[in-house]
Amino acid sequence: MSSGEVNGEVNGERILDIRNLKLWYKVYKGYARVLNDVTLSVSRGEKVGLVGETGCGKTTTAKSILGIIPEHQYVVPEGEIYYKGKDILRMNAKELGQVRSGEISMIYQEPAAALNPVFTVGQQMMDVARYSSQGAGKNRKRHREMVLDAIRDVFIPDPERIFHFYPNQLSGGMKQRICIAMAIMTRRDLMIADEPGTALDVTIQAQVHKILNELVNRRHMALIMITHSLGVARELTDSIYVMYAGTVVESAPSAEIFRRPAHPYTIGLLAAAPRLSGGGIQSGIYGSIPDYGSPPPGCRFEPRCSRAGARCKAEAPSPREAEPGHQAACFNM
Amino acid sequence: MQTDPAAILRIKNLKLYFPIGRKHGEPQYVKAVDDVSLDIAKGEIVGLVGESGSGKSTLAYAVAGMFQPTGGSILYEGRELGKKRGLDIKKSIQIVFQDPGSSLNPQHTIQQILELPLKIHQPQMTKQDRERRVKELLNMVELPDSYRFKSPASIGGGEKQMAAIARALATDPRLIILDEPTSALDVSIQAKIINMLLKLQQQNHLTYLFITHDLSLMRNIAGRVAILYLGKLDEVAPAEDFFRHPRHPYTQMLISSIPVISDEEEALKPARAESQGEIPSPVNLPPGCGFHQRCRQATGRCRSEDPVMRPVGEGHDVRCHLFDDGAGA
Repeated sequence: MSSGEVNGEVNGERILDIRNLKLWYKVYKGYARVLNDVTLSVSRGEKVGLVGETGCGKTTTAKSILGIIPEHQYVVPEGEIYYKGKDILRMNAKELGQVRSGEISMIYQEPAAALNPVFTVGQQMMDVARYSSQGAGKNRKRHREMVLDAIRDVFIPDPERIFHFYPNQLSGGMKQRICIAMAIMTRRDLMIADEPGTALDVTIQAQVHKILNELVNRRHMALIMITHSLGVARELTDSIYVMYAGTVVESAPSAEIFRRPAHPYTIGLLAAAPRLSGGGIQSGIYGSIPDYGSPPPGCRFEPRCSRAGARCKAEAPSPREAEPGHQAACFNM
Repeated sequence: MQTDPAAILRIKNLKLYFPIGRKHGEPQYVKAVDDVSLDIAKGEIVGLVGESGSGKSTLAYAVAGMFQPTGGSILYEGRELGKKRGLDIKKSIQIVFQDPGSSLNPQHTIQQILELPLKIHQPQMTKQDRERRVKELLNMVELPDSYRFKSPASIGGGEKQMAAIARALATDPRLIILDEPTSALDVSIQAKIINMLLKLQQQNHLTYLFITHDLSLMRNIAGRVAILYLGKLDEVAPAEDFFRHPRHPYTQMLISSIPVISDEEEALKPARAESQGEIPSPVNLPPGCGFHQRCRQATGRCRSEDPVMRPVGEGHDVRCHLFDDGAGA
């Protein structure tokens, strides 16, 4: 189907549409049923936060959008990922390459691991310019200009000097800026940022987030911000999807999630977060995420939920509207 | 700085320098901790906050006896801690590390891990007594008895950290150093561990030196907060005052950088304190204040002269030239 058929959003055309995605990893004892009904959509220029704790499937979702999980490691029993109306899961290698080199870019959590230690920053960035579909042939001078412009865009003074640096000569914050520069060097419509500030100190994290936010706004890109911190999502995004154990449990405009959280997991997560205004920390959420090998048959949050009833054990809730534009997958709202 | 007669731990002008070879014939040092003085009163929770590389863990390890100070002294209950520590001192100062995955021996069961400090510090204990004590310790940290027979690899990250806390409690310590005990864990687990730590502190009249980089967390547990930057203390204050009226430009930058989840918290962030610059390398520090390159209010004096700690309020000390005339601006 074409993207034009989807109901119009404020920011216009919907560019990414994940529908009921299930993704299972192949493990020695069968399948780890990680993603369980992920439904998510991103419109042009929209900033979306994907929030959840360790092991909830945030990164798996991001990887599945780019199709970078090795094929022998997983199966997709159900669901579609429409990018501009075409299903990424059914694209051939050439089309997929097109999407990766010209449409979607990604920033990883650990900048030190994302950069190659044996090439200079300039060499690595020149590669991106050359292989991206917008590199315009073999014009080295043009590529170099693109690279220097990109480095300047992330507020690094003296790009000519940084061009000849190896990654280990840069601090963590600088490395992450270089990764951002690589991601924005050529025109992209969607940027996926996987915890870009988590490995950095809080003052440096604030700088990186600011740069990212400015660039995404200026270039009118769509952003998927993956983070475990509700605070980061609140600062950077328009809408938030809260994930728990491979399921999107709640989705709403960012302000709504904080004003009126609907799902017990979101409520627990907000209560457990320490506040700068003090007042102590309320109780956390007891227990841990389920074993993906044999997840609970009903709601995946049921074993840790204080509101759970008999129905939650037997049946998985599907997202329901708590308010207009605010959905939560829970029977007991 | 005022001295507190009730201090259980008194750190005086502590210096920890690490040699890193020579340059032009001159020996080079990383000054991980440089001239730090801090008193901790009995029953208090002192939060030590700093970014990576600020020297907070080095300071903690020096208190725990894992590093020998280059200069200065550490006094525990009035006794100076020398090169060799007696068993009684080791018994009363315990430490909990950041990563429970690597601080618990993977080849031992929880029972063996919790028994080891008992065997060393209470050799007269019988096997039955030890077993009873291990159960008691597990109860304290709200783990079921059956966990005695589990190995660290078979339990979750939060539970591992609880076992590590139980191990620290085994010797009935009076001072526990907590080196980022929850930074490797998710917030839902963190809340549980922090509440348990606070309960244990009340019940057993413990004193905590709590190290973290998370200021929001610090706000909710510490009575007093100390900020470390490049091995030096920049600001020490009671928690309430610290967050309501942060004085040091670095503290203001830190607080304004924290992502928060409510408007109420947003209002606490100092305006015009946006983060800029990066923490410089601790080798060959520039002269003057270590923060002057990132500071919006730096003057010529900050570039040449290192400020000293000065009181600006009740128990509130700041090391910044802005407060040299004693005015609490």
